[in-house]
Parts: sequence; structure tokens; C-alpha cells
Amino acid sequence: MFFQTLITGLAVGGIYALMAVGYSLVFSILNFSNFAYASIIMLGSYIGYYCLAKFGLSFPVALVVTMLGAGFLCFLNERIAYSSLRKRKAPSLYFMISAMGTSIFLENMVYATIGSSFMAYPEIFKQKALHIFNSAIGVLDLFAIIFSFVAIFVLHYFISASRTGIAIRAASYDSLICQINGVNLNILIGLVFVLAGILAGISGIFLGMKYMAYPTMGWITNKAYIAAVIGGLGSLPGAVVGGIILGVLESFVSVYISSIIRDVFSFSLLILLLLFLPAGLFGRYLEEKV
Amino acid sequence: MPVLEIKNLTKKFGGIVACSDLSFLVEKEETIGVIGPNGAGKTTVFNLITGVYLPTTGEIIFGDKEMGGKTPDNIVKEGIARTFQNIRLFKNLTVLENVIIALDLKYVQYPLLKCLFRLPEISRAEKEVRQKALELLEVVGLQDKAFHRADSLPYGLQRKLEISRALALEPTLLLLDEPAAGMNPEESLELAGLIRSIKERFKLTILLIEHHMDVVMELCHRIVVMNFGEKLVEGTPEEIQSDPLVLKAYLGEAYKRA
Amino acid sequence: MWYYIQGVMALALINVISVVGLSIFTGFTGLFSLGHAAFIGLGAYTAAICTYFYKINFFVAIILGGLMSGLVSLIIGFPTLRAKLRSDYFAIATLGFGEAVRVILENLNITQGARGLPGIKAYSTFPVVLVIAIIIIFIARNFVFSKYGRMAIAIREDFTAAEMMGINLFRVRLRSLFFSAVCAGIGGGLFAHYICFIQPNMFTSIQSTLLTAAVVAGGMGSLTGPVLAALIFAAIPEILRVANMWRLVAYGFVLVAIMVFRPQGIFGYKELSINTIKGFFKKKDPASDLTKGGAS
Repeated sequence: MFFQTLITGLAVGGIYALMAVGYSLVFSILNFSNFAYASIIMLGSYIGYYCLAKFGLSFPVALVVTMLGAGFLCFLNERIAYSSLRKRKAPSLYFMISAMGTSIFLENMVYATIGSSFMAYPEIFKQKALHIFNSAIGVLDLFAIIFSFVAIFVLHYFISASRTGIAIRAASYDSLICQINGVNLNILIGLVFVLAGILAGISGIFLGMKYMAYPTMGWITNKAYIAAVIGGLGSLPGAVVGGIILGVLESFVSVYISSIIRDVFSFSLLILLLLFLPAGLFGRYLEEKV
Repeated sequence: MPVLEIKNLTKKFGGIVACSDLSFLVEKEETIGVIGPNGAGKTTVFNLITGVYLPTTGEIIFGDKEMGGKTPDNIVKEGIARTFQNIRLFKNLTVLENVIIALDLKYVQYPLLKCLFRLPEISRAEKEVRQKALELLEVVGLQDKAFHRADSLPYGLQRKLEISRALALEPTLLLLDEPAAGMNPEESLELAGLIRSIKERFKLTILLIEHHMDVVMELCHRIVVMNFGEKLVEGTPEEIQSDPLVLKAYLGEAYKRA
Repeated sequence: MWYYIQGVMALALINVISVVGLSIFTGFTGLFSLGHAAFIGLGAYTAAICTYFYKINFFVAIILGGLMSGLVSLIIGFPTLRAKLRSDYFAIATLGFGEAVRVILENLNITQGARGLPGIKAYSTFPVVLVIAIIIIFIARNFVFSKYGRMAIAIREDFTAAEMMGINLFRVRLRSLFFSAVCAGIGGGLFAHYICFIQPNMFTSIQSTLLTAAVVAGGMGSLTGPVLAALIFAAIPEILRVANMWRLVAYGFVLVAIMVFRPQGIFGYKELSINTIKGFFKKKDPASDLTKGGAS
């Protein structure tokens, strides 16, 4: 029982981790929480659905298309909704409102055009389960965990070793000095959003496969936000750890206490964290720019 | 009893010591200058006194009360006001509104419940505060600009508005952080005259950070010279001008006051 | 026909009451609340339970609804505001709060859970709502044009400078939150007695964001703007009879467009008064007067 709960928790946690990393990535550069990220994930899920179900593409191709598609949409989001605010140094409240607006717009656009029905993905992974430690784990879940970790690892390598990655890290500490040293901040920020979008695409397609695609699935990503806060907003390793911890904790609460309480638990945890440990485990609690 | 006593004040940010074992006194109605190279820790001292930073160790005694650890708004209520090096006006509000907000602290006293129903005494109080705000603007010569947006003012006038706002808080101790920054020699001397006149009129004690040496030498009874977070020397303007340590660290060995 | 219009107007005015309350919190104090629908829901349920189960007088029930929301706002506001969270963390906390309240409403016995509470008496007639709305707007206006209103505005403009003016951030923010929650609670109670049936899923974060949208579109730092926006937002679905989802698509678009092109909204910083009307015609903007005509 214990191990089963743990494994289930890890599976969900892997996806949470992926989404949390996307949030933290943007947060670490721009010092703001992108409330529209949830809708990008949702759009990624739909792109994946159409690739697999309607166009009959193979899974690897669909994955790539989704990644690129979501990356592009995330980039567009930044350019349309945030870049002009950034250029005139608008207060963070304006960014939040713009993000909310984007999220409402996208969610309801899907609602209005495609419809509110839940889109079931075709079966890509066989339903059979593997057995480890006397517990069952679905092939899909296993694949999701592994792929998530690979993706995060690749991202981590990119950010620590490549030149662009170093520029991103530098910008997260001091964007002004970064510019003086020749970094084109505009392009860099665009790139960061593309990366976050790619992660969103991966999360979206896995969420779609595990559950289904529907317009309000962005709601799940509120959990990703909690995961990011646990790990510490702005810290990528923290986001991973936070995602896993949240997934596992939720799983245990669900099984051993009650599944209804699960969401209340998560949100209460969030509020407690924000009050007592806002920097999370690994994060930096930055004061707001005034 | 001195108005302000700084005792062994230290502020560390992690490994950086911004202010180290600083001690000095400020007596009633004195004007004390705080000078030193950039990064010497002058604004840090102001931030410590006004509660923006918490002291790591040491005491800040205002009158007979310990200020270290109090929140900024409580410190203001006790009677310490400041202006900012990089001007923090309410940019979108008018000049008059900026002063009225400051006056609200001590000059306007009516309970919330009464104001929600707009009893006549509230309307009267509002008229009075408006009048008082105009008077304060007259002190610095800004009454003609009362209804202009604060950020539409030229730089020098914005500084004057900052001062007017600080006065509205009815302080006993006024902290001025580089009030003459960006001014030419003529404007600086005019400002010095203004500071002198408000000091006399409102019986203020003043702590002044400045780089314009003519303003400092003109106004200050005593000067505290800081460097690398420490107090280098303390003395009268004459003593400071000829002190070899000060000349080496800050004024420059060729500095001579005519 | 008149009956139908009255109905629409009543609903619009109920919306106005909640929006005015939120305007004090978001528009004037500058804090984002993504869970405000929870306060409306709390007010709705409290008032409905009072009249339905305990046969309490309607007006008393409405007030109780408002007070319940106010009380909860103090409970949730005290720790979160004292912690001086940065604004996006605070917004997330309010989101969490809103969701938590909804889940609780779905699981309590007295609220009959997700099935909802039907059969509430239709006490919210147009004249009743109109009078209450006018009273609330009157009180809100007096708040704005007073020392207390100015303190909130100062905090929104620059909270560090506001502290330097002797303003206690926590107290002012908590006060604004309380006021906005009470208004939302009153709006909720009136709402419950208008549509006569309430369910927890009527009070979701979508509702909260729509309220915020009305405040932002109307103009932060203004009361007239949000009032107008609230009336428009509530009346549109009736006038246009367009499917719900396109309306929301438009709202989302409007929010982004406003932030990008005209962040001050329709009325931003100004109130409807002789001065402002004159201002539209004069070249230079004349006196904006915190003590009389307009909040600027």
C-alpha cells in the first residue's frame, strides 16, 4: 500500500515538477508569476490531441510538434501581453492583470471554438502495468516520469553549461548589467518563454494522455504553482523537488485520509508556506520592485 | 538630553558591513552634516534611523526611546521625518495631495465611522487640512503649483515638495538625504537658505547628508565624516576642512575653502 | 417589459455593490484578490440560511451575510497581510483561499453541499437593491475622499513612501479588505434572494477575476469607473444574448488590451464631477481635488 501510494505520487509529481520548472524559469528572470502559464499547458494538451487523434501523427512527431507549438504560443504570450509592460516598467499588478486576461481569453477561446467536451487521447501506451516492489505502475506513468526527468536534466545542462544558459542565469541576477555586457535582453526573455513553453507542451501532452484534454485543465496547474512555491520560486532544482514532494504528499493524503481533503490540503499548505516559508526550500524571496 | 544618540550602531548584510560601530550625538536644534565618499554608509544610517533596516547591533535613541526595531510608520509618528536621495513623491498625485497625505498623520484626526457618513465636522476638517497644506507649500514657494501633478514639476521643485511633505509630518528631527543633488551652485545656496529658514521657523534638529560642500559648511554646526561604514572623524566645519584624514579620504588634498 | 428591465437592473446593481467593495481593495489600496467570489458566496449562503432555515428578517440576514464575510476576511487577512507578502504571492494566497472556501461550502451539511440551496425567497427587488447600492456608493465615496481613503491611495502609489508618511500598511490594508469583504457579502446575500437558488460552483475564481476585470476596466483609483463597468458587464449578456463564452473571451482580451494600451481604464484616477466634465473640454486638466471633486 505504502509503495503503491508512493509510486502514484511520484508519477503525478513528475508532471508537477515539469510544470513547476516552467513557472520558476519565468519567475527567476522576470520576477513575476505568469498566471497565463496554465493556459499554455492546456493549449499544449490540445495540440497534442490534434496531432495524435486527428492527424494521426506518430507519438515522437506529435511530441515535437507540441513542444514547438507550445513554445511558440508562450513566446507570443510574452510579446503581446507582457513586453510593452516590461519596457515601460509597469508595476507588477499590471503584469498580473495582463496574465489573467490572457488566461481568461485563451481558456474561453477554446471553450467557444472547440467546445467544452473532454477530449480523450488515443491510447499510445498499452494499459498494462509494470510491477515493482509489489506495486503497479502504469507504463504511461513510468514513461512520464522518465521523460520529465530527462527534459529537466537537459534544461539544467543547457542553463548551466551553454553560453545562452549562462546569460539567462546572469539576467536573473541583474538584467541591467547583463545588457551592458552585450546581452540582448529582449531576445533572451523571448528565449526563456520559448523554453518554458516547451516544458508546457511536454506537460500538456502527458497530462492529456494521463487524463484528458479540456479547457479548464489549467486548474491542475495551480498545483504546479504550489509545487514551485514549496521548492522556492526562482529555483529550478527546487521546483523539481517541490513537484515531487507535492505529488507524493497529495497521494498519501488522498489514500490515507480522504481524496476530497486533498485539494484543501494543498491550498492550505500553500497558504502556510507563503506565510512562514515564502522562500520555499531553495528559493530566494525577492522583494518586489517598487 | 540629546535629541538623537547613535550608539555603536552596526549593520551587516551577510558578509558586508555597511555600518560599523557608529556613534555620535545630535543636540537640540543642531544641524549635523554626514559626509563621505559614495558607499560610505551614509544612507544606510538614515535607513537604520527611519526603520527601513533593522540594526544588527547597537542603539538608536531618540529622546529617551529606543528606535531600533520599531516599524517605519511608528518612527515617523515619534517625530522623525526624512527626504529621499532619489525622490519618492506620489508621482501620479498632485502637489497638494502629496502634502495633504503627509498632514493626515498628525493634523487630521477624525474617526472612521464619522467620516463614512460625512458629518459636517468632517467636511470642515477637510477644508482645514487643505488650507494648511497650501500654507506649507507657501513656505517652500510651491503654492502656485498646488494642482499640478507631482511628476510634472522640474527636479529642483520636486525636491522642495519632498521637504514640504516632510515638514507636514511635524517632525522634531528632520533627515535630509542629498537635498541639493543635481543643483547648480546658485540653486544650492538658495536651498541652504531655505533649510536654514525652516529650521528656525519650525525649531527643527537636522541631520544632513550632502556632497555639496558649500551647503554643508554653510549650514552645519558639526560634521560626521564616514568612510567604509565607519566614523572617520567628527568635528566643526573648520576642524574637518583641515583634518588630514578627511582630506585624504574625501575632500582631496587640494581642497581649500576660501 | 418594465419588469424584465427591472430584473436586469437589479442584477447589475448587485454586481455594482460587490465591485465597489473590491474597488476599494484593488483600485484604491492596490492589492489583487483572486478569491473574492468566496466572500460573495459566504454572504449568499449566510443570508440564505438565515431566511430559509431560521426565518430571520431579510435585512438582518443581509447584514449578517456581510458581517460573516467581513469576519472571515479578518481571519484570512490577518496572517496574510501581516506577513507583508509581495503582491503576486498574496494574489495566489487569495486564490487558494477562494478555492478552499468553495470546497468547504460543497461539503458542509447546512449548505446542502454541491446540490445547492433552492427555494430562497425573492426579496431582492429592484427598489431594495437600488437603495442599498446607493447607500454603499455613498459610504464608499466618503471613504475615498477622506483621510482613510488617502492612506489607501498612498499605499497603492508607493507603499514604501507611504510608510514614510507614517501610514501603517497592515492596518490600512486589513481595513480595506474588511470593507470589500462586507460589500461582497451584502452583494452575495442580495444575489441569493434574487435568483433564489445558489450552488457553490457559482462562486468560483472566474467570478473573482470578472470582478477584478470590472475594477481594472473601470479604472483603478476611481469609483465611477468601476460602477459603470460593473453595470455594463452585468447588462451585456442580457442585451446581446451572446453565448457566455464569447463574453468571457472578450473580457480576457479587454483586460490585456487595457494593460497594454490604457492601464488607467476608462476613468482611471478620476471621478465623475463637474471638474472632470469640464476637464474633458479644457485643454489642461484643472484641479483634481481630493477633498471635494475627484480622486487623482
